Amino acid sequence: MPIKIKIFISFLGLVAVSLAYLGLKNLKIDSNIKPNQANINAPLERDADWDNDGLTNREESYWNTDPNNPDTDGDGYLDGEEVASGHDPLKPGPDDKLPAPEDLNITDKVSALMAAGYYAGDLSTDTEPEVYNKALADISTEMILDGIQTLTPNDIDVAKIIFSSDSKSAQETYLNVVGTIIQVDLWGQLVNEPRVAGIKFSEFFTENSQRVSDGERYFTDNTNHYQQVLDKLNSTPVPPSWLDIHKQILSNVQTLIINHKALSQTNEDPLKSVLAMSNLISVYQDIQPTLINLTRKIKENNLNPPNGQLWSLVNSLTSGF
Amino acid sequence: MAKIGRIFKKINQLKPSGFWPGFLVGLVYFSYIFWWFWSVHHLAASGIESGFLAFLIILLPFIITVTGVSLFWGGFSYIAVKFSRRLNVAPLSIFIAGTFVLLEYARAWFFGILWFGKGSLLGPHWTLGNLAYLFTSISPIRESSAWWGIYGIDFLVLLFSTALFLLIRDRRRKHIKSLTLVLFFVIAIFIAVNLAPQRVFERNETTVSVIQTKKFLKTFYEPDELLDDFGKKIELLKEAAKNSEIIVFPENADFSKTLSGFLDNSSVQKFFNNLSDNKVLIIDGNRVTDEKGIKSKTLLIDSKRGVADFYDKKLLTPGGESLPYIAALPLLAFEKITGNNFVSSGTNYTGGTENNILYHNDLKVGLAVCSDIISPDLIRNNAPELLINTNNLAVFNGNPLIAGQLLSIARFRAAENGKYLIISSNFGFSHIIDPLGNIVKSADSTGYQILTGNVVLNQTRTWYNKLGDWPILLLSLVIFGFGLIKLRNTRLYNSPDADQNKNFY
Repeated sequence: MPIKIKIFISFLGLVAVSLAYLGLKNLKIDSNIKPNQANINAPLERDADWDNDGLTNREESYWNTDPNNPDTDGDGYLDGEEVASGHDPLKPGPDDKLPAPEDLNITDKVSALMAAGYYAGDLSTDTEPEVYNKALADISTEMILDGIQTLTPNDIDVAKIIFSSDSKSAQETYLNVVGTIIQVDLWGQLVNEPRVAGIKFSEFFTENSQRVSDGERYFTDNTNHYQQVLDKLNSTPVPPSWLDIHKQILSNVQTLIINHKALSQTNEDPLKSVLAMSNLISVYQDIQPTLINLTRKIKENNLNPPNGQLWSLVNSLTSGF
Repeated sequence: MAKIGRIFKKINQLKPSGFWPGFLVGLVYFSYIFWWFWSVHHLAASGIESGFLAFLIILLPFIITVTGVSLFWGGFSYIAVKFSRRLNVAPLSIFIAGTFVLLEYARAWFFGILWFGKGSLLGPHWTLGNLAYLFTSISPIRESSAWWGIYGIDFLVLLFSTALFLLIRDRRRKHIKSLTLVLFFVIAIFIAVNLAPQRVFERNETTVSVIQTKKFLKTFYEPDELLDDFGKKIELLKEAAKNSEIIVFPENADFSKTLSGFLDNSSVQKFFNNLSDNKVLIIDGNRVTDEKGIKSKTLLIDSKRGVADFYDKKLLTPGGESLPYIAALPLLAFEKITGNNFVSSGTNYTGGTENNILYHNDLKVGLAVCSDIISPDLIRNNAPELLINTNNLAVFNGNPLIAGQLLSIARFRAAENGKYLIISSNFGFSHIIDPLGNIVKSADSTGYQILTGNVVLNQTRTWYNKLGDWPILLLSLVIFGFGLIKLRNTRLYNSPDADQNKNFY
């Protein structure tokens, strides 16, 4: 056998041995690695629920719970059950209630999710682009869903509404109260609101502490103003046939309260306030159907419109409809 | 008189020789023309409450503008003096007229270049202060603009006045024949064009109503102010729709935009539909914001079918709608010093790109939004049948100086194109102007009111509408070229003594 072929075969053998060594080495590590460390990197396992407690492995990572222990705090409730019912899965009861949804700090949560994603490997620099993008998309979706949940008012509790009768005088009394509230406290406020709020919101991102506190004060004052409007509405007797419109008005006011409150806390939760700012601009448009529905119902029921320039204007616009 | 003569002589002796008389006259004239800068009172709304700071902010652009445009008149007098020693009197008067036209045309370009900013439109648009506008009330002169526009009038006025001046100075009566001939020629040409028959392609008469408003300019309005303004507009619109086919709101009336804050789409449609049994065309200016910035968008609304066409204002007003680059840096530095952010917090306007004709079925309306009217070139395009100028003088607090200038300019645009022109104003007077530039009807005050009149749509195209400024510019260029050749030849062949014989200054 020529010397050249001998050298070539020896080289091939060396390569084969090296590959076998590397393969065995990887195999050995794989078999020794702990399940939660090994599998959290594997895309297919992130959405698995090893301990069947109702939380996926990624959610376990966010809540800091043990993916192999269905009841991390040992209080007798599954981790998933506790999160779903608003309890802390790391803290045994009875004082383990999680903050109310509106108090949820979206910025903190997104930061925690980002950190969890990084430690899990989904958001590390050497991750596959598909995995990386999906992790980011998941976090963004989570943020938007949290925004909707925390910045949208709950369903109106009808049991708390005081009802009057559907007599003409009761309806007109209701209309005069609500008409004034809409003209002065809602429409009147919202005329300049989107632009003023935009300016005040931008002040949070300056280095001037005076301007930051001005911004805080503006949104806090508005929160209080709309809270007073809500109290006034809650104490107004509602004719039963006006319930739908009343619920629409209550919902508008509650939206204003929640979003102004979130904006007043921009320093603590800037991500939530960005979502609140975009909500606030759309509230102005939400008042429009209320005006139309109210005017339509006034005409249907042959009632006198509320006093005020706004109502005579809306009446003039819709005459002949 | 002798004292004035001595002062003039001293000024004339300053170097460069001949420049200073024209420049100083320009400074006085353009200070008057641009005096309305001082009526811009919205600085407090921009966050500047100090009167002194507001004074400084207006003073700088005022000085730059007046000095800048006066340079052209200085240049003109420099050239006139230089050539007066080289040319015979009759060619000299023609040369002076041609040179003035070229420099006035350059000045119209220069204003736009000087105040160029983001969204600005370059071109010979800024004709403010053109001498022709001083002759608005002299019908034969104004009506002749249908043939050669304002630059033709500049040419003839300069030709006439130079010939007259030279005739008065011609004590030896050496050139009396030629100069008298020039004077007669100018008079004859004005008479001839006014007597010349014009073919008119009239279509039909239409009733147009202007909804004049008086809404103050403010950063934030009180709810009552908005309701009051909008309520008045609704009532006036309903009233006007009873007997008008076209209704025109002023610039930035924001009627449709405000309406959409009260009514949903189908209700808006119902509202317009209920205005009249007949179709009414409503022209409504709205300030809208899209991804590119703010636009001054004018809608043409068919009351039965919705929005038919739109036009986005093209010629943005420097300082008001576009921030000139020349002013941006000093203002930003000023912001840094004062801690104010009135410049950087301002939102920019974006100029439109489409032509200014609103089409609807077979109707072609030429629209000029506020400063658009200053440009003869923009208005002339696309052969409109009716011209409409919407303006908002609230920013000038209804200043009569700018209102008067804009009215003179509008009368010329009507005469140049031979079309009826409607002016719909916020804070100013609204007018209906006939195709000869005569004011047919005017609002009796600047408040909220309807101005109704009949106009005739016509497809007549005047010579100016067809050809624009090019014939007169070409003629002026040729004259200037001949003047230069003559100057060169005189330098080469004339003896130094010849200068003394031909010096008329």
